[in-house]
Amino acid sequence: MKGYVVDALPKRGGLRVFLDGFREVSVRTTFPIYVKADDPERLYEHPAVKEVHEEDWSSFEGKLRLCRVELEDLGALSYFRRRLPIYNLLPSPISQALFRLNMPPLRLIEVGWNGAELLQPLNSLEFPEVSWVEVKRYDWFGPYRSGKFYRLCRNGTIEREGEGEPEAVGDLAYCDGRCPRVKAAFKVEGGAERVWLPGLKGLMERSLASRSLPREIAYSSIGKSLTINEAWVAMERRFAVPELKVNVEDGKTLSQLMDDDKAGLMFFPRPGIYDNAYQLDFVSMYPSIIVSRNISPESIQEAATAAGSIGLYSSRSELGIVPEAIRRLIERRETLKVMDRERADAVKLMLVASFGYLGYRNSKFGRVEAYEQVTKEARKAMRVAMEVAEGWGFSIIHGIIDSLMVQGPEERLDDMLADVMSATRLKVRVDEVFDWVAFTFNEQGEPHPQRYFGRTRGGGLKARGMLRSNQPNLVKWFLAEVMQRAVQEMTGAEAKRAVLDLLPSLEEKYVSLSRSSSPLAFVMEIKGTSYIRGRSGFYEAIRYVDHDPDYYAAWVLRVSKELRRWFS
Amino acid sequence: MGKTQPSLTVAVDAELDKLDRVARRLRDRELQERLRLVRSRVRYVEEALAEEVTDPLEVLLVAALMGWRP
Amino acid sequence: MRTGLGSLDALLEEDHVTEIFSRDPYLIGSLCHRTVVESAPVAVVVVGERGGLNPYLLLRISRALGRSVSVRDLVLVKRAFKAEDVPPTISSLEGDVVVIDPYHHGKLCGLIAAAVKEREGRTMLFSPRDRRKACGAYSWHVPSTIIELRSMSHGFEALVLKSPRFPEMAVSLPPALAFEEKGLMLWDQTKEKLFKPPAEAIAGEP
Repeated sequence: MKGYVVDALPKRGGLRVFLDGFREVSVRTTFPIYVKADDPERLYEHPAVKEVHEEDWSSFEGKLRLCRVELEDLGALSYFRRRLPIYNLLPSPISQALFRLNMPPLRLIEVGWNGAELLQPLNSLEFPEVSWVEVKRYDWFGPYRSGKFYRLCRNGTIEREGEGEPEAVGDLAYCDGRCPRVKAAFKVEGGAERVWLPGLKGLMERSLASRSLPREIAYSSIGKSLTINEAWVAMERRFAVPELKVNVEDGKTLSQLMDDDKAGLMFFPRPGIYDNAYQLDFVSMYPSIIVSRNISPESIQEAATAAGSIGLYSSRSELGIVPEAIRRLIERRETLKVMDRERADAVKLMLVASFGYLGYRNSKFGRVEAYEQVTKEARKAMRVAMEVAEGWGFSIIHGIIDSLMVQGPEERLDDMLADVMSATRLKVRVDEVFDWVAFTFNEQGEPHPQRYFGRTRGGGLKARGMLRSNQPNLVKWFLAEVMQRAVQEMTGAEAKRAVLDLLPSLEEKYVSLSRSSSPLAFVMEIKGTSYIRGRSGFYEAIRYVDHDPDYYAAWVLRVSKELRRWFS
Repeated sequence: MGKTQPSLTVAVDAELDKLDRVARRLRDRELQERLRLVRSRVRYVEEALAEEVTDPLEVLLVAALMGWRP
Repeated sequence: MRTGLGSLDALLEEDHVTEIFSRDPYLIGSLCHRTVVESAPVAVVVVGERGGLNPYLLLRISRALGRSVSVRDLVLVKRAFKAEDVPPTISSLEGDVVVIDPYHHGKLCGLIAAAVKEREGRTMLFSPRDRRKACGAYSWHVPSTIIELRSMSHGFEALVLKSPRFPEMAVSLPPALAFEEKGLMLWDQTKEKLFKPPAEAIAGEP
């Protein structure tokens, strides 16, 4: 029988494995758990223990002698967990069992009397040919979990839209509200899943990348998929990971703390409008630094023990656990970018989280010194890039974390980039070429480092931080209309003139709209919920009754005043 | 801002707010104007000191000593 | 180790383990930072995922107290981000230690208190929470002296809740001692009156 493993549930002596098409097979297996036991023979006293094997592993504590206990009943795990130090709980015993059975999730397999055979390479990038259904709910003002209307997509294509409760059948399903009439072997219903769920396709991609069942990662943060990915590398290297990793930081003087404990570089641009600017981005900067500088918690620990200095990290030729795991994700993402953007973005989310998890207290592969070393290298790379760019005759207009905005001779841009990449050992690309870009500032003249917009070389608009979800739609429309008009001009000076000419009439239009417009104009999102400001205060948009025109008019006028300031 | 130490920007602003309060109580217009000038420069000073071990008073000192207007 | 406030230091004397807590986070934070400066060279354990120690405040206090040697190299910091990290981090340090918010996570209190108790050097614990309600009997048993700081309308008071030498009592401290993180008001130690015997102390210091 050929098919894809969609889900699996443990039972005594084996697994119930659910394939696509609602097919089920029963397989015999034991479940491996790893414990540290002084007397391995005593482990057999538990009736669920079938075999015990003593094995040598390495770990954060050094060399370790562990017992691999093969359980017939996974329910016995809680018994051992309470009594003995336990290791390697990620990947889960079910995932480890499926891997041994050649039945990794969402991979094409053939199940026969002798067991299962994998019909695709384990790292294949092929997407499983299963039926996956997504149901999104919305109401008159936009996405809303309890909305009256729904949109049902099958395999990424809209199948139908309507009102009420949709009916559908699939192998996997995701609904952002309740969907009792949707049947699937694996279903996620809204409210329970973590906010990281970037669509069902993204979840399936994470399942593939981490070789875990969708069920095991759907209700956890992105960090779990990432950690499982790292744990697989650790298992390959016989590196045991404890259930709870205790960290004792190496002491720092106050000076060292002040030097190490910093975030990425954030510059403050000189407000104004700049012609002919280039936005340079370090590609996946933090993950790339982790890989290229081989920064890993176990190697940082080794180096600190050996040399007594936090600043050193391993010069081993072999990549550490975390860099190796990330390297595989980077490779996967690079290939997926060409094939499927959505899948590539799901992997990108894991990469984005990889740095944060390096410093997260509960992370199995976290260590604050490693985290700080990455930020230090990132700041150094930005500084080096700036020096190199200035050496080539470019001036630095702005910089945020992993992105630089420069002005200078276009004919030297490629050479300058090559030099930056050589000096930093990191990939940099030109993310955008601007005919002009405007940096904004507040009433006191203080620059907004994360709010700018400009006209791109193709005549389009690129804006960052200008349209925010907590602004009413009316204000967003106003701003968008101004920016769209501005980018019709090729130079900053021309854009200024055009906007200042336009503002009086546009202001009048939107102030008038603040008094009478469709309710959608007054909706704004605050912490994930849509609100409207009424005459008595804020209330949820779903209960629309009225709005406070003076509130919205005042907002339009404030924004208009800001625009005049920026374009003067 | 790191995991432990607070944001230098927030700390600098807190110091400036305190000096603004002092200037108001002193009713010294010139001091208020100088502080306004310092406020317009502090972000760039913070930027320049980003790779040093510094503190808010140092930032304010450099901003006060600077000769240019942004 | 000393807080720099004569009255408080007289209450604490040379106790092996002392604890000061307050429901006012600014008050306890200010006193804690002052103690670090006054006690330097000293080690500090900061408990919690974020914040807890403000190096800028330490430098300001250091300047205000006219320290000739900067605290930058006299304070050793170790951070314990989760509860399980706290006991081994405390145990890893020798000499005098200040622990900031040891019971931050509200769990493993017994283990944390045990780690504190087993230390050879002096330990001062600062907690921004009401310790009467948080964290178990054993952790209350470990410090020799426990003081609660309370903000009053004019100044603040130190309430002695546990002491080998003094009964339960309140010691008033002048408003000038109620320094804030946002605007440090310099307190000149030479002007402060030393701790007086109980009868006068109950009446409150001028």
